[in-house]
Amino acid sequence: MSKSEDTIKDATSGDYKYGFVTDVQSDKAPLGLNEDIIRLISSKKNEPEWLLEWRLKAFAIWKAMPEPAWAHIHYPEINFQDICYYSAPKPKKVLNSLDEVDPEILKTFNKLGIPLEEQKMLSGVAVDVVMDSVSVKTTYKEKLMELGIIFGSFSDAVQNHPELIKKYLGSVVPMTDNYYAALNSAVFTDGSFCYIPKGVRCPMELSTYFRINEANTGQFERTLIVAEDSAYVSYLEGCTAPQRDENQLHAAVVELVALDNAQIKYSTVQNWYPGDSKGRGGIYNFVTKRGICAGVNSKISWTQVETGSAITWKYPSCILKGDNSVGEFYSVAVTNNFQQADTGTKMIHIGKNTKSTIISKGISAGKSNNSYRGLVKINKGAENARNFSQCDSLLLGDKCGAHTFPYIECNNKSAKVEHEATTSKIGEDQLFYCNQRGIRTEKAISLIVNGFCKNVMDNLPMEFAVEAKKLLEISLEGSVG
Amino acid sequence: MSFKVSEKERFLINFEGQDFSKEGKNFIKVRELALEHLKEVEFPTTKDELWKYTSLTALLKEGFKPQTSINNPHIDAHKIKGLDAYQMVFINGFFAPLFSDIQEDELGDFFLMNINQAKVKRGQFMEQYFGVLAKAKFSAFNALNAAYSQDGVYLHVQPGKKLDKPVHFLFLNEGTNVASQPRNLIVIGKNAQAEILISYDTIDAQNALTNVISEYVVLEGGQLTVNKLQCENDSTYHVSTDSAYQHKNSVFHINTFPLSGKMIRNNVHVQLDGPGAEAKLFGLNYINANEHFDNHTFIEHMKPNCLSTELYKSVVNDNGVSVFNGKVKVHQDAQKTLAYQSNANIITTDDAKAYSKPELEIYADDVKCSHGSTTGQFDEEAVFYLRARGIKESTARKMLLNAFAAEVLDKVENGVVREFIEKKIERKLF
Repeated sequence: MSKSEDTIKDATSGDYKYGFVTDVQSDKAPLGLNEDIIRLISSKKNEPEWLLEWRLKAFAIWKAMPEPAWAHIHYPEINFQDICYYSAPKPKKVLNSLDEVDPEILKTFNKLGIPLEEQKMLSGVAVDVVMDSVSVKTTYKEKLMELGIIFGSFSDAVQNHPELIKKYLGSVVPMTDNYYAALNSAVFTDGSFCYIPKGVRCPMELSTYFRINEANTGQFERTLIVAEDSAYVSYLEGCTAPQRDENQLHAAVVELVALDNAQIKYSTVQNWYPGDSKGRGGIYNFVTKRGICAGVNSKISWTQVETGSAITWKYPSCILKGDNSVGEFYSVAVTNNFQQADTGTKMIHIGKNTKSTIISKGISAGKSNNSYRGLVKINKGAENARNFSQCDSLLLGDKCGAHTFPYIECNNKSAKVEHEATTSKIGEDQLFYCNQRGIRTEKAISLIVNGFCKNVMDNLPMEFAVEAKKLLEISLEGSVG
Repeated sequence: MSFKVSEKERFLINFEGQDFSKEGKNFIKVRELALEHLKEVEFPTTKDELWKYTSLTALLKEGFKPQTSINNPHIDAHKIKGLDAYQMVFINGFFAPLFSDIQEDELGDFFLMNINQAKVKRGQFMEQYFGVLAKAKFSAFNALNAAYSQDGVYLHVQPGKKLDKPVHFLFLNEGTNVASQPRNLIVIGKNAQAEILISYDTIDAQNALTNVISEYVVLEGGQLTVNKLQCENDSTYHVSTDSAYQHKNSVFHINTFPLSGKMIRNNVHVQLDGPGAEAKLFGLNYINANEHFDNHTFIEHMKPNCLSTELYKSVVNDNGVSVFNGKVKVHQDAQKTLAYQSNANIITTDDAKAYSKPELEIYADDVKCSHGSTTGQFDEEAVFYLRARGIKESTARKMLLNAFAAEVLDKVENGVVREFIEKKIERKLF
């Protein structure tokens, strides 16, 4: 066996470093899904009547929908009646400072290496912590309030800004959109809400930290970000989850709305528990993310680093409705062991002079399968639309798979659409070159993989780039240095 | 329970009542099995991934019926002038011996005959290949052909032999609501070589359906070149399945030219099941008003060190529709695979549509695979460049189109055939 294979083997056997269960008392609903559970969730959250009706309507739609089977992923059937749809850490009292947060929870974040205090003090990042389903603590809220920015948990927003929620909820991802979006619409418990008023440039990176905690609890997050005319916001989302054997379902919905001249940058680092080296356990990540560039000159940019989850099913998309609007998608997806990823994007060009860029890098190792699935659609009225797509796959090991399924639909003569994809392994010559210059094979693989992902990593905000690189190394410590 | 006749039943009823009892037992069995499949399987709808962009609603509403040609037509206009080839002519799917050179070469270099005759004379040899590649259970169209195909070509080139001249299969339709279903089997022996030309044309037909299956087996070191021209009239639906199976070090080369027709669907499936095999797939579509051309290709790399190259181009005018779906699958054993695929589309109006879906499915690590797809319009600067040099705009555009097409046309090695295609395209353009 060659040295590089050894390295890959060593790397792939790396254990999940963030596997631990926090012992916080939970307020849990009984297992199962029916109208009563939905009513329970709604009443627990003290929701207005219209929202309950909205949920029930979504539930009725979900019941009539078949589970999608088109993705290139395989998993045992999910028993939706065996999931707890509501679980909240027990409320204690209203907190004024971080000291009052449950020390257990603080410890969890310290273990993750992201102490809240430090972030608050040093990096100027306002962190809206979501542990299981309820927002525990929101920092920097007041600072943001001064600028008129609303940033907090979704349930707070339902109480305090119902008119905004009513206006935008489901406007980008309707409840009829797909099976998991309908499920989420019926049972979502919490999430983040962000509203940037006209002309405001959000001075800091907004971030939420998701963490699935309670065993057997599906997490159904709902995120809504609205950027008014000429507003700008950069939003970060990152996840880790404890190690356990049962599969956990995560079906989130993220909606972005960018009005005239607005810009939204949404970055994700996803590192949920991917299952052990035998393919047991791990998170099922079935997420619907979509943004609409509703106004002229608006821009939405998705950047994601996907290293975790047993199954990832995720297509952050852009609807380019406003003239001159821009959509971007930068993605690194790493799969190892028995992980399966079917991810990509959709760029729907409706407005004139719309532009989109897709850069997708897939890295497969172990016995994993990694697919890119994307749609570029140029509508009839999208004069001078422009798209460039590049999807590259890197294979580490001879038992993994890398697949590309791009859909290109062009209905306008002035459009220019380009797509290119390559699949290959790390060249022996590249490794030899590095070895010859005194770089160990392990280090060389890491170097090459980092270079392979550079285009995407460069698009992450500074705060995230460091963590993302670390994650890449850990997952590929499994497959790379 | 409903006693209403379904659309499928109504469509199929016209095909019943054909007499195939003269065929050998085993071939009748193949037909019976296909009939079973036909009962079970539904015709695809746009909800099926493989037919997402091509609707069969209009096709299924027509009442196509197998029928022999009534007149004794003149077919000279449909021959390719100056082409020195063995010719096999089929009208409405039935063999027309009057126009054909039936050859059973005396030296034993090759067997060339209609497939119904081959079923009697070469039955035992044929059975190992017949219906093995394009299985009836794969699709409703495959089953329909397997159950009711009228006739077709059988060509077997003996090991180490080379056909002294190309073979031209000419399939013609005549009449109203004709359903013709040719079925071809081509076996290229070890280190043998052949070039074939398959062309589809219309004598005088209103509403026709051509549903053809061609199976190609290229044994070790064999080389086969196929040029396929589809120039039926604007009321013809054409569904065509080409399945090739390649052994070690063989070469299979197919050029597809969908030139006219109401709806054309091509399914090309190539299996590279021997180390060192090479597949070359090229296609050029010229699509005008009310035409819908759909090319699906599927290349499977099953053994190491194989090479596949694929290039499909389309020019879409008026309200024409172009669909390309190219899939390359690299199996786990197929290390050192090289697979290159490319699709380019030019759209000249806002009513034209181009759908492109290049796919890669890769399970081996030591591979180099790539695909690319572009969709766009004429480079206006290039048009300007030519006009600035005193060339008329229409001529300039024609020159650019020719340049675009040349990359595929150059793959046709036979000069007579290439010229014939060029002329057809020219007539279509102006």
